[in-house]
This record gives sequence, C-alpha cells and structure tokens, in this order.
Amino acid sequence: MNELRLSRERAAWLSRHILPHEPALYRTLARWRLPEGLEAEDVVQEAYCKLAAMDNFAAIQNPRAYLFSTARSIVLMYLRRSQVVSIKAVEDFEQLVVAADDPSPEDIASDREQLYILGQSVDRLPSEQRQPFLLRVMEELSHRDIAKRLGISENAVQKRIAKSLVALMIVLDRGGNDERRASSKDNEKERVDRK
Amino acid sequence: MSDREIASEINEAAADWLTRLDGEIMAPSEEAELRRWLSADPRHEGAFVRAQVVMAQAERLRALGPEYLENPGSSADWVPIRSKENDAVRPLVTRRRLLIGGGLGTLAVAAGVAGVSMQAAAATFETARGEIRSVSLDDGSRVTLNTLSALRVEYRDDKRRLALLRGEAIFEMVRDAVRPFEVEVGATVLTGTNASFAASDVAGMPVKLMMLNGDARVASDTLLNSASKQVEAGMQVTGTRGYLRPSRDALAVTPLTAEESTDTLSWRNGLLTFHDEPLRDAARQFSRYSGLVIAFSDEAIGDQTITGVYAASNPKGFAQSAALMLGLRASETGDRIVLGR
Repeated sequence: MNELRLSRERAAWLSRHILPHEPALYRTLARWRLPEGLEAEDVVQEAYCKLAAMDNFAAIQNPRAYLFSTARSIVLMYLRRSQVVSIKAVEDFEQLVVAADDPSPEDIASDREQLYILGQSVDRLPSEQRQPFLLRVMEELSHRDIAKRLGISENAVQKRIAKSLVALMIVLDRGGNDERRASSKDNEKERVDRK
Repeated sequence: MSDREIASEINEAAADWLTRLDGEIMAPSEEAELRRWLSADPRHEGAFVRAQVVMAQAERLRALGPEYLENPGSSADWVPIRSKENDAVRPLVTRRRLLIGGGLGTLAVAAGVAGVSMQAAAATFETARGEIRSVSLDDGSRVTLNTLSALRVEYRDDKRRLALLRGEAIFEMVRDAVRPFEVEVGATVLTGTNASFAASDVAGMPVKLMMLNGDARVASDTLLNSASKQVEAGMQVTGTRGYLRPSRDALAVTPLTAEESTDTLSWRNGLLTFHDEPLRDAARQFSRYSGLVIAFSDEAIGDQTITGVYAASNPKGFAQSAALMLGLRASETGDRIVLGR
C-alpha cells in the first residue's frame, strides 16, 4: 500500500533543490521549441513525477543537472513515441540539447530572494484566502480550529487554502513574475482546445 | 477539439486534493478516488507532487531562525526582527527602497509596497527613511508602515496586541472570533474584532486615526480624564498625546470625507497630497522621506501655500514645481534646495 504523500524530507529536498530551478528550466524549455501537443508545464509536471519516485534522491550530486536531464529524456520519449514526428526531428532535437544546456549555477534566486518572492506572493493574496493559509502554515492550526477562529465552515477553510496554494504554485514556477503570462498562455491553450 | 486538460485545471485539482488530504476530512472512498485521479495521468501526479513541494516551500517561512543566524550574509540587506523573549536577531526578508520616477508635474505611481515581512511571535518592525513596508501577521491581518515608522506586535492567546510606536500605518485587522485586537497609538487604544484604519503618531503632530472599514472602540486615558467612543467607518479621531492635555473632550471624532482619506493615504502609493499647504509644512513632510532638505531664503516664502500631488521621494521635483507655480527660484546646493526669489 503506497503512501499518498511525499515524506517531509523528500518534499523539503525538492523545495530546496528543485523548485528554485524551475524558472531556468522554463526558459530552457522555451528554447527547445517543443513539438505540437507537448507543453512546458507538462514536461515540468512529469519531471516532478519522476523525481518523486526516485529512490535515493538525497544522493544526487547536482540536482539542477539531474532536473534538466530528466526534462530532456521526457521530451525525447515523447518525440519517439509520437507517430507524427519524423526521425529527423528526433535527431535534430538530440543534437540541439547535446550541447551543454545547463545554465550557470549562479542563475538562480538566492534563498533570501526566494523567501522575499514567497513573502510578497503571500502578501498579495486576498485577505480571505491569506488568513486561513497563514493560520495553517505559520500557526499550524487544524482546519477545524481555523474554521472556528474565522467563523466559517471547514469546507470554506479548505477551499481558501487550496486557492492560496494554487496562486503560489503559479507564482513560484515563474520565479515570482509573469503571473499574467502563465494565465494568458492557459487562455490561449483553452481557445485552441475549443476549436 | 481536444479534451486535454490545461495545466491550470490540473494544478487546481491537485491543490484541492492536497488540502483535503491535509485537512483530514477525507473518507476512505475519497482516498480511492484520489488514487484513481493520480494514476489517470502522470501530469496529475506531477502536479500533486509539486503542490506538496510548494507547500514545503511555504513552510520555510516558519523555520527561518537558526539557518539565518548561521549565515547572516550581508546584514545591510536585512531588517532585524527582535524576538521579545531572547532578543535574538531574526532577519526575514530584504528591504528595498521605494523607487519613484517623475519630475515636474508628473504623477509617477510607485510600484507599491517595497518590503514584506512575516510576523513571528512578539516582534518589532521598523522602517527607514523613505521605506514603506507591509507586515503580514499570522492571522492574516496586515499592517502597512510608512517612512520612519515602528510597529510592535505581540499576539497572545487571548488578544492581538499591536502598538504604533511612531510614524504612520494602515492597519487591516481581520476577524478573529477568539481574540480581539488591541492597538495602541500614542495614548489612544483601539479595540475591536475586525476593522481597517489608518493611524499616525508623528512627532510634533497630534495622534490621528481614520476608520476606513468596520468599527472599533477608541479609548484615551490621560491622567486627568478618560474617554471612550465607538468609532464607525467614515469617521476620524484626533487624540491627545501624553498626559498633559487637560481638555475635557480628549477625543475629537469628526466625519472623514473620501477625498480626505485618499489624500492622507496617498503615501501608500508613494505620493504626498497637499491642499493649500504652507510650503514650510510640505517641506517638513518631504524631509520624512528623503535626506534632501528644502529650505527658504526668507520666512515669508515658507508661508506661501501649495496644492497638488507629488512623488514623496522626489523633493527636487516638488521644489521645481513649486518654484514654477509661485514664481520663485529653486537653487540646489549640496544637500539642500533653497527656494528664493
């Protein structure tokens, strides 16, 4: 019976060593010009999937390089499996990324900057969402206690915390900016999907 | 047509599932449903993992102390938070100066609040000259501090205590059924459940309160008399300071117009608004935001009045604008601008 959730250690390791590299990964993915049907978000989400399943994550010497090579193999697998993509396209892609694509290690927000961005993002949440979120994260109150404290239902507490979390997920994958770009890209895709 | 889910939908579902799991409100049948959702698409699991990772990141806000004490880094960037209990310095986030462009007649609106802090136990927050900082409190309330201001926060189990030690601030206190708030401003104390109000306790001026939303009980205790009033949104209070003002009505409660409140609070956008303000008083306001002093070649010039909206961090622009409007000359020498004829 496998555990639904990541262990604390794994979640903490990923937040420390993988999450900060997301903005750089997105920039690199943009340069790869992904094939039709494959979005950058898909690659990133699948990469997290793989990293979550890894056995000995703590032993990874260079998490950044590992993340990038994981993303690379995800794209390659997609290309190979796709009926539509020619063999030449696959070869071209392999050529494209064989050159060292890993940006310099300095190209990452410092701990301080990450926390600043995080703090700002939390601060920008509408107060009805920020409240329960902070009570949960900072004071570690149960949903029931938060519900009592704020005079709302536990259901409402859960929904508001979920909304706060989604807002942070959007902000953090773009390194704290480009919130609009993320959502407008989704809108664009929505329009395409409706055709 | 494609039925392919877009990333944002998956993120929303993942966050929803995670918070439900976290809230311990899931029935066993729901758990089975979650497992089905997770295995339906690798992106689902990926998003679910990522949601947990982002949550772990958010929790880092909590556990800051020890690691930052070990790596103080360039402490110039940090605003120390002194914990009441052990006086340990717990730096949280960088402060940045508010940068506002603009010159003659331009209304350049600032990028908004420059610095953000998170509260931790009892703490004091201070802003430097020209700095605006927003403090997010554990219960979701928020206080925005203006230049040269200081705020003390002490959240207890029975009440939420705050004190504006000096300067100006906007308090947005959210509802907490269990703990009322108790905010000290000068010799005035505001108590209530939830309210938004602006407060100022600036040297040389009487304490001022503006009730923006909700309501609160405002009390003032001086040695000679005490008074307490329930103040609703749309009202302002001018209070006494210290213990030496023997006026019978220690609190003057008067209506607050929308225009007045917008003007007085324009500092939030890095702006100062004047209506027939003597240049001397306007100059004093500017000195709170920047080191550049505006002086006058003779007293009479200081008495002339000015009206308009100006960028708080641009005293030079203000002086030039005033000179233009009043037919004066503005000359810059070293760290001062002198307005003369």
